Amino acid sequence: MSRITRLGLAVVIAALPVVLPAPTASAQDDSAVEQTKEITNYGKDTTRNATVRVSRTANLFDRQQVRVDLAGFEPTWNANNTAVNGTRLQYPVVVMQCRGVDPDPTTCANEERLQWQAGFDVNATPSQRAVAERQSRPGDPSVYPGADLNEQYANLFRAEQLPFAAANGTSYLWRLETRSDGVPFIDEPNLKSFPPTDVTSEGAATINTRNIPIRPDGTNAFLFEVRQRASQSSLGCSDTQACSIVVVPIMDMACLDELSEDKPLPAEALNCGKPGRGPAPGESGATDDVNPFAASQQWHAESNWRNRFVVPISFAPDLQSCDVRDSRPPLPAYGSELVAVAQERWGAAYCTGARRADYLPVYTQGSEYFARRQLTTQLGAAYQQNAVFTSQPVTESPRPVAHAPTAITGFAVAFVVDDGNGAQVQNMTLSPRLLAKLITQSYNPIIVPPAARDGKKPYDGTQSIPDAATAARYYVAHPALFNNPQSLFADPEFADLNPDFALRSGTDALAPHLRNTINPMVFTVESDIMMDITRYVTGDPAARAWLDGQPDPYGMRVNPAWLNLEPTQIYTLLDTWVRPAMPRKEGWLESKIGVLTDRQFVYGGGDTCDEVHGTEYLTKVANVANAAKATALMLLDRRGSATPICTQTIAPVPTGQQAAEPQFPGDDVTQDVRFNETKIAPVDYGKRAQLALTTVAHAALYGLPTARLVNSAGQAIGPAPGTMRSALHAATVDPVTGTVQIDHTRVGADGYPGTMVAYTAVPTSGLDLATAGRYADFIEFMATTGQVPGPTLANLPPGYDPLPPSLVRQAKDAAAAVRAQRGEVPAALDDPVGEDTPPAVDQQAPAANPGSGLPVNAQNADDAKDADPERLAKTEDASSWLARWSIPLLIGFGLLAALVAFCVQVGARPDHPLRRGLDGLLRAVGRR
Amino acid sequence: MGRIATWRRALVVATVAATVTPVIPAAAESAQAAYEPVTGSGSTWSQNALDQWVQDVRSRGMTVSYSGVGSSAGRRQFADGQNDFGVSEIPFQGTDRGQPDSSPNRKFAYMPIVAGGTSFMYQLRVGGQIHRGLRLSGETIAKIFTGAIQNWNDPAITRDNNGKSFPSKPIVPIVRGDGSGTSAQFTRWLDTEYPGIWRPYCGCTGLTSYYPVNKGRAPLMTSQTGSDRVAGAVAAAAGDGSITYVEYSYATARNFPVAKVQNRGGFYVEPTHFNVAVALTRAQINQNPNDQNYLTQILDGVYRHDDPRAYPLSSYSYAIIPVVGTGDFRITAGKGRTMSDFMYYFLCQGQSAMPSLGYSPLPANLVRAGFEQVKKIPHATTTDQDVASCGNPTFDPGDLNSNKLVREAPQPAPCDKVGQGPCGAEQTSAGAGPENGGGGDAGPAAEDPTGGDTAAAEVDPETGMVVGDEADGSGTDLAGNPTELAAYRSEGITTTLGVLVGVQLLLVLLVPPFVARAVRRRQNREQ
Repeated sequence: MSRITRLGLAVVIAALPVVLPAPTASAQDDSAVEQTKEITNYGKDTTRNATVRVSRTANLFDRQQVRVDLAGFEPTWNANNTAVNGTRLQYPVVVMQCRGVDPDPTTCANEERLQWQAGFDVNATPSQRAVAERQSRPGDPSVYPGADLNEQYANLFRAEQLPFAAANGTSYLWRLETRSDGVPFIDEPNLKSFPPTDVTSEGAATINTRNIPIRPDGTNAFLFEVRQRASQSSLGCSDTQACSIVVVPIMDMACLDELSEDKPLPAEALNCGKPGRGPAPGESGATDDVNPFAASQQWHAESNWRNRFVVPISFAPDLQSCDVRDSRPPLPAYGSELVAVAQERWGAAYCTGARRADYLPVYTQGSEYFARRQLTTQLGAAYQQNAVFTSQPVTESPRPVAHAPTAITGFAVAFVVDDGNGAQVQNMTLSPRLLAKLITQSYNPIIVPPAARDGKKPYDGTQSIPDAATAARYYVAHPALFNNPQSLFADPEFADLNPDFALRSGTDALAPHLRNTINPMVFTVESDIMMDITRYVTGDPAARAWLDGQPDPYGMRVNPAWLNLEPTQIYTLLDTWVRPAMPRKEGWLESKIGVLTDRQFVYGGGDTCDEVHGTEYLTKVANVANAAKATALMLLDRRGSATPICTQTIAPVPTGQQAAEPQFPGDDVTQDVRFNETKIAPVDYGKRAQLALTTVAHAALYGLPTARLVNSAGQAIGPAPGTMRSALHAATVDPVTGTVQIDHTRVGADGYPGTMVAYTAVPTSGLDLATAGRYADFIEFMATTGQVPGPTLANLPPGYDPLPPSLVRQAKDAAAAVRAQRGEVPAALDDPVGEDTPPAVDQQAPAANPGSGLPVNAQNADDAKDADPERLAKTEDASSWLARWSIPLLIGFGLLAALVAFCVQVGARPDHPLRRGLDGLLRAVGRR
Repeated sequence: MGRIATWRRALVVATVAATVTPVIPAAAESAQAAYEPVTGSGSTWSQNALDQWVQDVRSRGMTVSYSGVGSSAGRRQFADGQNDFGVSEIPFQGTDRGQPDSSPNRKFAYMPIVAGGTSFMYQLRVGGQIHRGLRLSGETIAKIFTGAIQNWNDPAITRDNNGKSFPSKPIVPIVRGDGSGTSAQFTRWLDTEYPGIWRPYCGCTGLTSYYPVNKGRAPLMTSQTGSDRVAGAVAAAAGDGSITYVEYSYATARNFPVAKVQNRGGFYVEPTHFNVAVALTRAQINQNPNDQNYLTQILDGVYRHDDPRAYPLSSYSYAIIPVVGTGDFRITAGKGRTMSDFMYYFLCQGQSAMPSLGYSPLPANLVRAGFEQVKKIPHATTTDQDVASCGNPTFDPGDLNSNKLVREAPQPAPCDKVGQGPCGAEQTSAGAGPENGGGGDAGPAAEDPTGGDTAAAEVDPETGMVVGDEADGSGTDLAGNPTELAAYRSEGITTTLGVLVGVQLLLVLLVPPFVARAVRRRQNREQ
């Protein structure tokens, strides 16, 4: 390409993008809020000073997690019973989100809204007291007026439920019970006897209210997920509707001695003012028999509500201006999940007008491998993709392809782990070998204590076990993992790396929930991300030796199914051991299996699902997903895809259709019985211990803590801003495509070893010029305006480091080659980080290109490339005279037009600044 | 100097504003309810498509969450009022193996969302290498999934592969354990096409969402919950010798092969979006808008389509949407707007990405019918939509009643014909690879007199629905089979475009200063 052409293009390029206004706030946000005040235990008439700290309160996004630190509160009783979102805790602290900065209980999102108990509070509100006066126990419809039971129930809900006032003015009584015909008891325009319909019992829309157990030292810390209008419109928080995080400590209530008119307290209210039940703070054990007057449901009782902390929060503006009926032609781009989070923002920029264009980029997330196959193969008459996002270069393409740097991010190990004290862990360090142990499923999934093992034999499903006495002589354990630690947290290597991690719980050296084998959430599709994870692991000498069979210093060995693991693009479950089911007793009948009573008890033995399905045990307990986003969401949902539970469904078989005789031993011909491998229920808060392989950007999007990974310099580095750009010093350059890849054996002290670079790969020949121009424009947008980090939805989101200037230039060169469609492939950069940062370590990749020996900078990058004729892949299209000259001619014409326009304007405007300047100059000259 | 800089910036802005032709529409939502989050649940068969659409509309301000809990659970949750919409491959069945399956209290309608092929993903290692290009007849498949064929060296499999035999290795059929629309699709095909094999095994007639594991007949059969888990089980190391039925996209994402299935045209074909689209031209769609089952499918014609390209196990997936009427207390004005805009998006623009995900986009007549269904959602935003602007690859903007995808679908390779081949192991499908692909194959396809288009025209042009233009005229249309590969379509167009660009550039540069001046002059006058 001639230099004139390039200059012309540069002018056009410079004229096209409208630069976004500078971000209003820096990426560093310091909106933490700390409040300390005196709180009163009205039941005991004592006071104490308590402190609430919220890590971030401004410019929040939907579903972002903010850290909440509590200190100085009354320790919680029955603290080990964290079931049902902590509603069985005694003296917990309730944390919820409310609309407004001075909220009352009607604007707080909390499903506990029964007013009866609160009515016995000395300071009760009139409506609370009225319920207590009317009812001797809550929920009896017969004391309410009404023509029939339906009306009585409706009146009961009206009186006894504290309404939740949704943002749209509708009140929800939150208790979903329906009449026999499926219709709710109350469904009036402004009053509903069911929860807001944006709240569901599981998954993404569960309410964010948390009931927090306070440790014996009066503290706790956890991540609280804030909800913006987009995910909870009934709460309605947004950039224009301020909200707050409200913290209500539950303490002893100041209780009435009697109801009005010498009416004695009903029996169920006698617990008012009585202490909470269950084990004292710091003690083990738990009870389900709790005192409701000391539980989270009393958050709106006056004795508790008066002690509330209100921390105002504000949200970033949400961009709702994309229109589903946008008629601009879509510009498809397919591929790597590394860019997914950024694409969401960039896509929004095209809709809000922050980026003006006559096309609309449409990003489709998918495997990089599939992306490259689609870019290079035809199905029918056309190539399947014309633009893909990839980390590894596109090779063996029939069309020449330019690779434009688009995003610096990486893989991450995100985690949601509560320590032995039930507090959410914020920091964790993993070495390549620990990661190797996790992904090779090498922790022992079935622990058989010595007492159940000594002098006994492993049961493999073939031995004859006629009675209980024989069964007691056997046990079941994974044959190869028998001597390995049971979980990551039981591994001494983990304890060495994480000395501050509280593993103990009460008298247990290792808290029970940390003992279970951790099966990390993993995506099982072909992926560059998985390739880099396994490259990182296998590139470490200690991990490599361990994977090759050498035990670690504590004697743990790799699962032999994964021996000699090599880098791989697809995570495959390799272990094939099937857990033998406990042997059936005489006369076993399939429809009676629900419990194991029809089986001889063998320690560690399997259930009927193991027998019927024969699923490999480690496959059954593995958590697999289709995408890195899905693994991150599994952490938020507090469960993966593992199906360790065996359930059964039974349907009777009509008499006429029953088989004459059993189809197999134990077949019950009268019943159709199905055995299902089922997921666990979401894990309780305080007992979570889950890790996920995901991307840095997805972890940042959901505010998930990420592990620090030990790099080749021996430093444990997390994906903090700058650490990924720093890791580029250890990059090797592919001389053909100009793409870089991190050499995990050379990452410097401050480099995050999980760093990856995502490229936009687009052919530089074969596209029509209009489409090519759009792709070029899109590439330029992503590499320039799209690289400004910041808090608004038009900025580069957290989880990405901005491209250094050298990579921006590389992207612009790629865009120019795409726009021209002359088969050109820009030269590889010598130094991916550029001169703005310390120079990279010696290049290991051979410098195949003599032209690239020139220093690469803004002035002569183009010359360097032009000096290298080998870079120009000759194609048919390049020989077209029209193709070669039409654009330059047009550009020249355009420049001419610009000049003419300028002169016309100067000529037409007597007050034109240039004319005035010239006049002034002339006058000055004349005067002299 | 400062003034000049300001002036230049103004010029740049003006340039951009004028160059970019369609100005972004101003927010015209003053009277509309704000978007509210919407939840859906059901099919894992179509989950990859839904996940994509959910992601797409986030930048349009919509929050939709979808959980793939299985079609049966999705239908049940819809009936119980636990979700805003369900997704299912089959309609409510009344009862299925003793489990109730109906929505007595909540009114609903069906709406097709995407097409796809139920594929047979397998792992068969020969000499340690994964074998690609396995061919199976329908009868062989039926026998494999009922335990009548239990080894890969079975003569029936050797016959399907034109004499190529496989090593002795037990076949492990992996089926869905949860209530699944994929199972329903598969068992309906088994029941329709091979009742003599299927019914004795099942001990039932008709389809079932709960695939029976009959250990007495198929001792090696196992089951898994969800599409990604059956696909994961086949892909696992222990999966050698296994085969499952799963939507095509789950196999492509793992780069695992799927069996080529024999069709009535005498070819073994894969479920590419082309072949699915061809097969579905024979789907019989319920056309009675007053029927509860309006728009649902009868696939017998699909199973038996004799076009050499047709993939027999092709089908549509459906959303179960709430409609104005009794039993719905979930759908607020905001939800109704979100749901109708979300569905408008995926019926229209959202279809364009479907081929790259392993699905086949909806044809124009079903998209049009879908638009009408969307209007029935409580509080739906009812604007009339223009189907032509959807960017859907099945649409021919010039002739919306003609299915472009079907027209352009390449013919299978000769080595995939019964009695020929088999094709080389590395060749995954006809037209893969630039040297034998595209143009070369498209020609014969167009001229093939036995091709589906002429046959289809006699009965129903696309999907069996009555469309405006009965005269398909496929024979003549086919001659102009466009090839979009060439960079420069014709010199004439390029030249014209060039002149246009020049004029535009000139206008762009000249007009703003004059306009600005006129405006300023007027302002001065008013002052």
